[in-house]
Amino acid sequence: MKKNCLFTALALICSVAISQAQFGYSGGAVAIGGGYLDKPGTAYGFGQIRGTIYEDDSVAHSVFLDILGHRDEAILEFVDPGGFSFFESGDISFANITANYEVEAKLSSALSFYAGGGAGIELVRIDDRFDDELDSDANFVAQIFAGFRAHFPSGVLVQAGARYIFRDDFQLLGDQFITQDSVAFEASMGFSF
Amino acid sequence: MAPVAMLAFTIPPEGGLIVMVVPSCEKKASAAILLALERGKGELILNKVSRPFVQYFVRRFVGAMIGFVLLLVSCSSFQLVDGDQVAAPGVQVSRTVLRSNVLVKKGSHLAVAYSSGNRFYVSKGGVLSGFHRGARDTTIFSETGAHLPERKFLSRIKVVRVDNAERAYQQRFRELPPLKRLLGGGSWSDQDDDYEYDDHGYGRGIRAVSVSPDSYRKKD
Repeated sequence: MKKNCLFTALALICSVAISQAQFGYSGGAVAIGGGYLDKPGTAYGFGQIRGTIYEDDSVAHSVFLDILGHRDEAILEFVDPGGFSFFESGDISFANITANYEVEAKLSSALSFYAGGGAGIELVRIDDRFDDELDSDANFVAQIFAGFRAHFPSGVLVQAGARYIFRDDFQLLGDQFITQDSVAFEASMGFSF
Repeated sequence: MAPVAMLAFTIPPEGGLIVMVVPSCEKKASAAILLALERGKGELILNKVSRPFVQYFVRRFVGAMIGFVLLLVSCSSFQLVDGDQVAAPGVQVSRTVLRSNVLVKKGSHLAVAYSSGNRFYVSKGGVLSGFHRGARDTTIFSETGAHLPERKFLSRIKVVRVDNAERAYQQRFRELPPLKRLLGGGSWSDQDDDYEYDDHGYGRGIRAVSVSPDSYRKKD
């Protein structure tokens, strides 16, 4: 049900954006930032490479590639040839790579409101303490987001917002783990070019 | 008026140094250095510091040294660094435990304020408490029935259940082999040269391996 609602929201955003877009303008920006993912309650970092496909005095349409990553610690259990159980520390890394569409409504010359959505894959990888990859998984991930963005004359942009992330469950070493839909709060800054 | 003694140093032309004590005289200045160096007749006159002033500085210096020593003693006491220890029966307090392996046997109570890079082995009936100053890179190998710190202090501590804490402590020096080698099959011995690793035979499904993430729960 949640998945259907998310797809409906994404389709609505894309259809509205495409109907209003007038392609032909080119410009872009890069941004990096960080935030807090309420489930599982961890910090994350992200980077964006943005391209503006249309912009006028009141609205802008952009597409961007978003890479969001966070890590989780884990305890690995394995059995040596002698049958003795060993425990090791490990790390699970998550990388969400999504393609996104965004509509930006300009509230003033410096401040704007943005909203959009995107979909992609989440790469999950588990390493042992020797940094050897033990297993990996790739799952569907989608997100919708909104926030406020401030543009400065020097080309610097600062934005703060929230995103709702849907993630498929992931599987590692034969076990499946539950991921929950999560709300994330974030802030970032970047440069327009 | 405090007596003042004069020391005179004379450097003769042929070299060397002549030191003379000049009779005391009264001067209000606490210290004065007069340097008169002439070729062949160098002379350095040092006015000795008055006694109460010296005593004041000596007292302050001694006080500072005592404070410094007390600070060092207080910081170094109740610390365990780079050590292996079996906690004796009774209550023990350790402010800091760094890079150590500690076995807490039945009847022992070890209270730790701060822990970093440690492995604690807690037997059934043993008590490990504290950690209110924090912990990092700390693993507790505990038997069922061992008393561990409050849950709020365990958020950054790995707790691993073991059947026998004493046996785990005795095997603490056994290096864990890389997991990839284990998964690849073959046998592991204490001497790495004896190990034959068949890279072509690598297969993840050979060994039963499980993972327990901190933030995600397993699906039933």
